[in-house]
Amino acid sequence: MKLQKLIIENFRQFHGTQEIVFATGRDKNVTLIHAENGFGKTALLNAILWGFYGHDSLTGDLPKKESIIHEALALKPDADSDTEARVTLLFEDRGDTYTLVRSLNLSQQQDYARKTEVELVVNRDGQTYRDNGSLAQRKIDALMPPGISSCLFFNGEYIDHLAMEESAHAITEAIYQMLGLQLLRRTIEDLGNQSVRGRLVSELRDKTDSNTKDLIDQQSSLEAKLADFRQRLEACCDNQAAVAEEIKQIDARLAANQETRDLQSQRARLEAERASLEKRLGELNTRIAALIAEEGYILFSSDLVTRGKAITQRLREEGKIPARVLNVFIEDILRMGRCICGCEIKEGSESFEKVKQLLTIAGDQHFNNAVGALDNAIGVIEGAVERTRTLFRQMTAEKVEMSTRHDRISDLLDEISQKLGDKEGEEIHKLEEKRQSQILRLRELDREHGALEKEIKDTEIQHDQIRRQIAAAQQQDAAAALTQRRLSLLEETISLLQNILAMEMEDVRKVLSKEINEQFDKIVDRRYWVELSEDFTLSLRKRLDLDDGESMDIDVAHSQGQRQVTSLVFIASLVALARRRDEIPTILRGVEGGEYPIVMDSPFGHLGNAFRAGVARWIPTLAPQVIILVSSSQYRGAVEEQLSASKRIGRRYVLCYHGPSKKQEAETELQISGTTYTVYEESRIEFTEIREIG
Amino acid sequence: MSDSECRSKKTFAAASEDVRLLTKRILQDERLVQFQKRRILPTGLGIHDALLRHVKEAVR
Repeated sequence: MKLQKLIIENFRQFHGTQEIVFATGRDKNVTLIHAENGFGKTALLNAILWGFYGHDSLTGDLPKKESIIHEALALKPDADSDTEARVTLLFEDRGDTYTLVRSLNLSQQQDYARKTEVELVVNRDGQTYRDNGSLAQRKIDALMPPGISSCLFFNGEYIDHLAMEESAHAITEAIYQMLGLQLLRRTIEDLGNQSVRGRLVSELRDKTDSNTKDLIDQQSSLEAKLADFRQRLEACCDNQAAVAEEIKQIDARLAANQETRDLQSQRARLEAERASLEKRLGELNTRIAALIAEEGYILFSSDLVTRGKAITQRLREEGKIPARVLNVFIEDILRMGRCICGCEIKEGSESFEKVKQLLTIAGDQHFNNAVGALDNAIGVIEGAVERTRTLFRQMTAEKVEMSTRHDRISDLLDEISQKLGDKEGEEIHKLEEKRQSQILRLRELDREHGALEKEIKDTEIQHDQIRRQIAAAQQQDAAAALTQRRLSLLEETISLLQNILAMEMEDVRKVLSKEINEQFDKIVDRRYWVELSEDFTLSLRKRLDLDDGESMDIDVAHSQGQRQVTSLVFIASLVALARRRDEIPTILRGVEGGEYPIVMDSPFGHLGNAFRAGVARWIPTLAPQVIILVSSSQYRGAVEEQLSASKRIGRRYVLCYHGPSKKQEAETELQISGTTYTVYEESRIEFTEIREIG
Repeated sequence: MSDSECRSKKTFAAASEDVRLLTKRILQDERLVQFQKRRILPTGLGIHDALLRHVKEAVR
């Protein structure tokens, strides 16, 4: 899909009819829109989203969502109820051209702003087809599934959450949606629904004996428990995210305050270091546990070694090892009845008995071999004892060192908290107090999360046991037996789909992880790499060389800029993979590759200079069509340099804001490629004007 | 990764014929309604009713 044109009429702060023609060339695929903060970037992004999906798609940072029509028109005392906001999107997809029009009139906005009129016209092979309402929306959703919109149209300053541990759910959601696995997941949910599986279970219960009925009732009770636990877990996750967000905002305020900036900055560094230490301690504990499991016995085997050595020593002293004469040799002589000197040895004779006695002290080859092996093993263990002991000591010492450092950091953090709390100024004191209470709350929620996960796991095990018992129960009634077979088939099908989904997600994860690192390499130096773990957590990693010559891969404690880059790279990789979807085998039919545009508001937001150049250089290659909205503070310097050097900018616009006043930090003029453009004009009415520039 | 390496396809192929057939029919219907809010098939049947019907028809 490529967006060709956006026409906005009276949508939010865009007064009258205004349009943007997007760059669609292969080499000139970037549309750059310059706008100061507050001048309409968010509204423009939302115009596209609203065009595709209507009210429900509007982003969280758009204020007063119910006010779609430009206020000057909507709030006029004699406003015409037919006054409307309209967004027209022209785009092409797989050779067809589309005109999508969404509108909302004043009377509808006053009544219920979510109910919009939508029309989709498609030109295909010279024919025109027109749809309205829900049919149009269905076709729009098929072209641009709603689930993927957050990956394609986003504010770069808010996507850094994808690179946080608690965002594994958002990551898997994005993968399901972009790569078509949502279909499998939905199917599994539908099959397990009350109206499908539930009905079969209910039918079985009606027809079966009392024992099976009891089992079914137990199963239902466990299902209710599971549903409750899952709901509580979801609420817990939401609470964790909300509390984490609140802490993040308090930190931002403390960082912005001149009085507290330094202490807050110190705290951020120390917390990042502590988080990294905790991760490393966890990894070290795992290594220690592995060492104990695999080689721990060695440390307790000295008694055995001593006894083993004593046994072999005694056998040597007794001349039994190594055997001078083997049993097999004596047995051969007795069997042949002739000595090696040639003398006859008859059975029953004195010579025969004397030779036979040698059997008791002669050696057995197997015994010889066994003693040889014992000698070897004793040698290996003796050699390993010292090595294992040394390694264990080193790891323990490292653990102690890290734990000490961890405790020291915790003390320093407490001191910082104390200092901040003691600062004069009610606001700072309150902020710090609030922060501390939210940290404690987060810890409580973490404990609750862990406890709920355990409950769910245990209940699922019980549920599965009961399910098997129901499946195995002998049914006397033919109808009950039939329902039982149907239920078994259904359970088998659900299980198959679950396994398939898990396998396909794992296969996708590996391919995606590789893609992410290929993309990441284009931006950042190679000491770092991004890992998409088995539990779908995105993390930035690096290799740490240890004193014992070994090395360990560790998480890098992300700065916000690093998280933003990691998240951007994840999205880009997903979009790239979506394009090549048909290269990844799947049991699903009709899962084709799809090309999508990416629209980014402020992608350079929190990036430091080191990343800005790399990201700016890489962004034009993100997708076949890239639309960037950027403020002057983000654009100046490395971004301008790299984007200009790319020669990929096909169209360029500025958003000129008209109003009685503007934010202090917003510019009135922008210098772009040596030309000055006005971006603010004083005016009684507030509105934004789209102006194309050279 | 090639088709032959695809674990999910191998797993699907190893399932019983009944399960495979049922899965195909179910996925066909799910595909038809995947972008709908109300999820009604062209036949007028809701998706859940359709799935239940497929299960019952698979085991008579």
